Amino acid sequence: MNIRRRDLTAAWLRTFAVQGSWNYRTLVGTGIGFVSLPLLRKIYAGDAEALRAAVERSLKPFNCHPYLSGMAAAALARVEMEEDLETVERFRIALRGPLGRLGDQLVWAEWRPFCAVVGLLLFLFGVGPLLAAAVFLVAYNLGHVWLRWWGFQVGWKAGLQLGKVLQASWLSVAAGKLRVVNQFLIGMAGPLLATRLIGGPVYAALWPLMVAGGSLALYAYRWPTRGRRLAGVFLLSIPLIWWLT
Amino acid sequence: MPVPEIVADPGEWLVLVLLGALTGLDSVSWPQVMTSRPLVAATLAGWVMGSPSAGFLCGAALELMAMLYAPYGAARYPETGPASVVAGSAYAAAGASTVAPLATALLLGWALARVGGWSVQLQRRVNERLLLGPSDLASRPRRVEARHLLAMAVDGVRGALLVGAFAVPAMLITGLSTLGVWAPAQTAYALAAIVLTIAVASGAAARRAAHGVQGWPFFIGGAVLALVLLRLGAVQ
Repeated sequence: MNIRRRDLTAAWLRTFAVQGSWNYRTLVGTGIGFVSLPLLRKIYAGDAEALRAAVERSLKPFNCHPYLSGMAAAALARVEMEEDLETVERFRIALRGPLGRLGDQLVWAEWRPFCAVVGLLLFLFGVGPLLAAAVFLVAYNLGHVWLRWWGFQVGWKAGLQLGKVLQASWLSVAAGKLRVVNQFLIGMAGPLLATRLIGGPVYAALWPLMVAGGSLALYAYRWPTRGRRLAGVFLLSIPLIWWLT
Repeated sequence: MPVPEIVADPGEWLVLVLLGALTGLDSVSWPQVMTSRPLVAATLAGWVMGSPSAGFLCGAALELMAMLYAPYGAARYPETGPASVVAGSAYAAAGASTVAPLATALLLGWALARVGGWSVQLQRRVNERLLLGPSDLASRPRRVEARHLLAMAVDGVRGALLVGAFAVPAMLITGLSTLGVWAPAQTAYALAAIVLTIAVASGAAARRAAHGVQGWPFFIGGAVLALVLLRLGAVQ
């Protein structure tokens, strides 16, 4: 058992492809197996049967946010090295939920909308389209790659203590901080984008449209699922009206 | 018969198909750097067709609509990458001038995102067979790796097929929509419907981006500031 830095780097690089075989039966389980293999091969070097059993364990159902998959895989490998099999199984089950929820809140619900709407607003304020898209990509991925790297390091160092380390980390504190900012920025983006798309100010002699838009925006805010259905209905009604009238 | 200008030439089509493979892979399989988001995918596709601005505008509207969905767990959601490539390239190719191609590209993009979402579900069933079908796969770790990589390759082909199949028809439909005669009332209705689409998409996106937490005064505050800036002429 002699895990080197390059084995850890190989496992970390594989986390970018952790969802490559995502499926409804094991969710990201098979991906965790794929990520863990460079480490498991070293942990069970020379013992084919123990490696087979470890790979089988690693392919079982698992769920976590893809960016925190390295944290899970590294901590699990550490526990494989240091603990008995029963602890490995229990630790794996305990890890399933929290890493998914935390990542969903932080990345999908906050960081991605924030970066996207900043890129969108930059364009609407006059920045070129390629630069605005590049700002979105670079800003988002600075956070993304760093989170993957930080998570992997923490998982590898903490092992069985991951739960405690996570509770005390910035990750739990940071979740929720961008919610208000995102709402403000999306509120700004709506009228600006609508104006740009139709090629003129929405308010000039169009106040009924403004009132309708504002009311519907608040309606969709209150009932997002109905709101998203309405968006489809509006788009679909354009060719229908054109065809029927 | 000469190829109409509104359709990509074979070189452009090939680049778009590669972009479809890249963005199809990116959304779930690899590397999730968000080239699959409409803001990026549609801009790049518009760039291929000579107008990144048109691509960005189309992508921005789709981005707001897509912001309502997040890939939580096994949730089903519209897949934006290849759909945005198709919509962005179609809008850019059509000249991005009037309301008709915009409405058409947005509608096609949104419909294709649904088709893409369905294809992702199909892909996940295929992954089950690839990785969980063979018995005792664990005894051959190299096969685990090979099958995982094969599943990713299938995902890339999925994205390429979506763009390959739909890019040219979407360009033709979007281009032809510019030839149709639109009465002033029909144009006004289309403009209003696009504004209302953006309004409901932004309202729902704001709530979803807040993870269900109330903060409507901030949402309204942002909208009011935007209207003031428009009134003052600070933003075009």
